[in-house]
Amino acid sequence: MSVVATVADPAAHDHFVFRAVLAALAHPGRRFDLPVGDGALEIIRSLYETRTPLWRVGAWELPGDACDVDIGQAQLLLVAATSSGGAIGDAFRGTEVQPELAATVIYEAGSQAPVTPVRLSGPGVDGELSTSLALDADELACRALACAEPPLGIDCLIVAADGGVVGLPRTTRVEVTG
Amino acid sequence: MGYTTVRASPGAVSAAARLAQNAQAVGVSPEQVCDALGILVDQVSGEAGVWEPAVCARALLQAQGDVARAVSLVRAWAAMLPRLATARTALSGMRTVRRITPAFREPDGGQYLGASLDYAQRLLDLDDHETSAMPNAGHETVSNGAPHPPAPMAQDLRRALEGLELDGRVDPGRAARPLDRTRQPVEVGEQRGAFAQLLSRAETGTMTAMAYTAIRGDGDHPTLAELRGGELELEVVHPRSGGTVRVGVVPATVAEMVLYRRPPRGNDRRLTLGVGVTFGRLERRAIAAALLDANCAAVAPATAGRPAPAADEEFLTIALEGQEATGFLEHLKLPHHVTFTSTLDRLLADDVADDAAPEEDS
Amino acid sequence: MRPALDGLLQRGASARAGYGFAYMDVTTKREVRRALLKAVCVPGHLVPFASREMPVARGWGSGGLQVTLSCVTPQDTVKVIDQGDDESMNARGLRQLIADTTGVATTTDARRATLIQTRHRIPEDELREGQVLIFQVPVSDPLRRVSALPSVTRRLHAEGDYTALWLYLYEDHARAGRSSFTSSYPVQVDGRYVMTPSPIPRYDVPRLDRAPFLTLFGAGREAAVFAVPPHTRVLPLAFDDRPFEIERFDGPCWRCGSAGSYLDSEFAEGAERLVCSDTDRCRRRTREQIG
Repeated sequence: MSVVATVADPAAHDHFVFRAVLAALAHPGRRFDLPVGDGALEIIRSLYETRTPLWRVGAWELPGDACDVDIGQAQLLLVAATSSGGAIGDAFRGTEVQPELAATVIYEAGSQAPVTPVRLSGPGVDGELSTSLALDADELACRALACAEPPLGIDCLIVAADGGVVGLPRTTRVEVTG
Repeated sequence: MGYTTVRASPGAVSAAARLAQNAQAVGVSPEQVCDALGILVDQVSGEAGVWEPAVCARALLQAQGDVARAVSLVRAWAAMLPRLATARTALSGMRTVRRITPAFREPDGGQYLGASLDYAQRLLDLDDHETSAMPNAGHETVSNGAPHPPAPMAQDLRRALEGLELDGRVDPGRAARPLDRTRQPVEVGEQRGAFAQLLSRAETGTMTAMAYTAIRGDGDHPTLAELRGGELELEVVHPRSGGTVRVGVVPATVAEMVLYRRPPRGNDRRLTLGVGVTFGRLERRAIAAALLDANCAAVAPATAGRPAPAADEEFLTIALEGQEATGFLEHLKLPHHVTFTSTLDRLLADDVADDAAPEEDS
Repeated sequence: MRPALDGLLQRGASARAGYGFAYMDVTTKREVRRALLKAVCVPGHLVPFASREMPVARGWGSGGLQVTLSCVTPQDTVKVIDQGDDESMNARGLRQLIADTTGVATTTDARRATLIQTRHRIPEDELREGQVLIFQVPVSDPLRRVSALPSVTRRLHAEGDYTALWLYLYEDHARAGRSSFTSSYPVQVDGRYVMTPSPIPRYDVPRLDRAPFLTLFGAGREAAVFAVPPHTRVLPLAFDDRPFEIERFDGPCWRCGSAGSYLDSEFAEGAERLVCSDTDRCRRRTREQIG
């Protein structure tokens, strides 16, 4: 599914962003177009508040009053790379009663990002899906550990330089191939 | 088996609405509603949690007096307005026009009956009046001495409970942090401020009924320490200067209720304090809210089993939301034939099974 | 009246003028969206959100509406049904509100819709990947049968403790040889959370299992959303040796002849007759047969 922003509806812009992200998490591993704009920043602007507690690594052009916190307190983790160096192991994974409180991680690695070939399965995937993800194998291993006790886990979005977004909810089983 | 659909022929919905609106008062302005039915307007205001009498009166007209519907209209309208600031207010700053202290005969600063129908006989007045003077109105100090001259609106009245509080006789309970449950989900029992907000906007009849169940029991019932009516001053922080700016006043009624908890409760021999607030002058809203707040606060943390409904914050959170209650009750008027078909399917399956079952010896 | 209030109550201004795209303020939309995204990440789990006041009463679709308005883009085509009928009064009102506040195209044909908001039915047409089905939900918790209190049921869900529901089923079978659950039959999602599919008939429940479409559920009064991603297992609670039973009808639809759809009854041409609940598909089938 591809959505393209209509300049005549600036108020509807965030609706297009949301639908791309929704589709990405509903169909893990598949790429969906974000409307023309600033990639991950579009997602942040459309979905989160200026006071959303966040943690970041790498260069992120956020407003001055962004609320930077320790990683365990963050609702949103921003990683401008294909790896957080294992930091996501400390991200908040939700609670048994409130798994929805878990953090969301947004990766935006840039156009030269290396990719890891994977095979995906789980909710949203019809059988199995062979694809590649702009995340290091080590990072994927870290993620698997963080998601090893369902329903706790972390939910990831990977934004490509070409304006596409791929989703990896905690329910997706990722097997690194090749 | 199954049930007939109810479908809209083109225009049926608007025709139904027009028929209902034909009975609407013609030529009655919102101002007239405010003047003549002010307490009804206050009720809408209180339940909507929105102070804007002109809008509440307009909603009442549009709803033909149906308070629940009027509250819906006002809340939906207010939900779309931009949120500019959070105001602070203080009881000490209230421009008080009415203040009674049933717990205390003569508090510091006196009691002010104010404009109240409490002691008026409930005799239906069948005479035609242009205007009618309300009995027992006026700013008279109730005391045993010589009549005092009418007092101007009092401010900085000391709270009647202050003395007992300084003596350590009052348990204020958990601190209440202001929290807007319409803007974020709130866990029951976590936030007294959010519960206070719920109580301040609760459906009046339900809250009255719940509070009634709490006080008709045997033995001591809660005592109303103080009831204050007047205007609360609202202050906001100026976005540029950072200074405090007074932006207006809002009429409100505040009630403080104290509950005596029979021992044993360890060595804690204190009264439990409950506070209730409502916009406007419909006082039983504040009184019931204060009572329920005290009741819930008095529940010992280690209580086994569930407390009585009027002391069960979770139960009250469900029962007191008038919009949810009226909406869901009235939703029964929506078509339910698909689900009813499913129900009949189960009933008839039982019949089929009975028919198929071997006959029993009689 | 003061000038600012005058502006807000401008005589002649339409009730819908002055609202942004899709009626709701951006803060509300963001909150609903965050809740929906997490709901998709934890299939079948109830995610609370601060349900906003809407121009429809609680219990009349305010939740489904908040979900639809948070999702809809100008490129969507929206269908709204109630009991399978696009022309049911509430469905019309909701569809009108959505169209008025978004300018979006609407349809009664489920094959052409991209977003479908529904009360109590799944459209009979085969729905495809890319379509989104949004259910209006009255009672959000299948464990409400067990306890009225969320504090109790949340703990049961967290522990995956659904023994009380299995006990109901067991007692039904022991007593009468069949389940007595009517609509809102409890289903288990992805082998974990038991959820209510909303008050759809049992007939519709199997359509949710490994569906190619995304399903979102909105409960405005109870202030929760939940979701099932496509291609996810959704299985009605049933014992292995006691198959799940759907509703049965005594004959086909008298209009289009369909023997494979969920039926209502109507009094027509002098008699009580069975007719498709999905009015649009029935009309199409009838036209195909005449033409």
